[in-house]
Amino acid sequence: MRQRVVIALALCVNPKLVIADEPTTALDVSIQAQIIKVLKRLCADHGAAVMLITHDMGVIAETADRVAVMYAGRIAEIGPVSDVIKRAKHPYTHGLMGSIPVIGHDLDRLTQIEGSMPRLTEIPRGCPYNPRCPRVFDRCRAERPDLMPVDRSRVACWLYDQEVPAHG
Amino acid sequence: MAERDAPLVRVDGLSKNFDVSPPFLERVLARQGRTMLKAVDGVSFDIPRGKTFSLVGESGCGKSTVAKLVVGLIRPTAGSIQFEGADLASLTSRAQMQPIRRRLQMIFQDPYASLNPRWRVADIVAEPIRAHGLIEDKGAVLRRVGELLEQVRLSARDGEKFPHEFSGGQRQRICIARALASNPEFLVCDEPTSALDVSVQAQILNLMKDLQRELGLTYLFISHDLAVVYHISDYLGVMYLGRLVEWGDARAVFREPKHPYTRMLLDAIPDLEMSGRRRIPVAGEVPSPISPPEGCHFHPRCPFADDRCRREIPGDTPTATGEVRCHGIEEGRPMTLERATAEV
Ligand SMILES: Nc1ncnc2c1ncn2[C@@H]1O[C@H](COP(=O)(O)OP(=O)(O)O)[C@@H](O)[C@H]1O
Ligand code: SF4
Ligand SMILES: [Mg+2]
Repeated sequence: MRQRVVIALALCVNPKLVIADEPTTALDVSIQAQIIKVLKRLCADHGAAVMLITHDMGVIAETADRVAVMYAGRIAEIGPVSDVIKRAKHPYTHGLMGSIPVIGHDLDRLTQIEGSMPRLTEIPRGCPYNPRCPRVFDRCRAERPDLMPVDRSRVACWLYDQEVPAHG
Repeated sequence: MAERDAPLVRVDGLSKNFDVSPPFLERVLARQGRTMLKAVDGVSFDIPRGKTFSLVGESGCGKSTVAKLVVGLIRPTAGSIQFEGADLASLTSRAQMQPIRRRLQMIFQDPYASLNPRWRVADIVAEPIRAHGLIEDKGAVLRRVGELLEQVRLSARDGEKFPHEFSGGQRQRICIARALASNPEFLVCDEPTSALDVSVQAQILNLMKDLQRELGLTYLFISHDLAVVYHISDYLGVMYLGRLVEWGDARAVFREPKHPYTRMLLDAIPDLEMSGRRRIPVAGEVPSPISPPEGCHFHPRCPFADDRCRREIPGDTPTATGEVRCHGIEEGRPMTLERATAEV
């Protein structure tokens, strides 16, 4: 209920941009479904842009057009939502997608990303994901990758560097 | 071998009322009676040994109360809990309770709140061993603690540290190690991964499945995340306002939900597959548990409700793998999706 009041308030001033920070955490499915509907209506009827911050991939799949995946304070991958979810490019996105249980997928084990998120004061040299990455190679430990274009997305990962052909 | 087929845990007609009356003086002045909240209302299910039974439902529907009743943290208003055929309510003395308490343990949602910050991890994990007098020798206790920490994929040396030195996922591992310390057969897990990030959640779910296989554990698993429940469960029960409205084989319930509330719940999940399907719009909200609707609690939101639903509490109707509580299903009313699309 509170969430909807906030959204209603936001609408009163006819915004161009609405930033929704975890609008569905701790909410239940029936309320969540309504919030998703409101967010969609925001874009469709009011022409507002919505920046949705969430860790709920289902909500992203339902509402977003584009998605950016963040790791340790930086964007690891950004692109159209269907590409990022179904054809993840960055090894982190890949691991993240595999770690989410999906109804109808009978798996004995979920994909596990080993280790844990680094403290923001101890971000590793090179690619911040390199100590946990199953596809890490030398360059990842030395140089920090910037976002580079891959298909319709942009990905911060040396595997996709066009100039120096990557291993594998 | 009837013994082996008997359920490890049997919950029968379990109810819990909480007194939520205003303070005495206020009540007298306003000439009000007591206000009782039926948090759990006639819940029955069985859990076979070595299996996972999950309870799902929206917040406030009574899941945590069932969990606390089952491990004996609170006493039921009515109904019984049987553990290997023994009625927990009949065990009144501490001496009778102790051996059974050892065999059932609980894991909570918040791994921060449930660990004493001033104790070393080794002492936290050793506490149930001491409380139940399982091992006397000090060195042997330490060795056992090391084993337990390794069993949850931490290192024996982590026993030296304090809880604040660990991440959320590692703290939940410590909680699991502590729960395993008394060699339980049955674990009640109340939203054990709800406070964790998805990648950490995957580690804990994998660990729980591994431990179940290694130790033959039986789980009562509570969650509001239906995808997690799909992944972990053998059996599934769906609660609505204190009542279990449907239970059965988990895959069967997901494939072919029977109760209109289960159908609505499954339909409301955001779809990671992006199939673009049109879902049944979710109508209304969960009413207050203090004054729930008469008859079937779900009737104000149900597109198939009739007069009987508004008057009479539905009884159990058997399904292929479990039971459902719905007049419409019992009577064989047509309950097609077209009718369900009417939005409130
Ligand atoms: N100790 C208590 N005193 C009064 N009401 C309670 C108590 N514990 C739970 N409740 C109420 O009982 C209902 C069920 O709560 P709970 O079992 O925690 O639900 P869930 O775990 O499904 O969210 C809620 O309405 C809650 O407010
Ligand atoms: S008993 Fe009636 S109101 Fe309740 S779910 Fe069944 S049809 Fe709907
Ligand atoms: Mg709860």
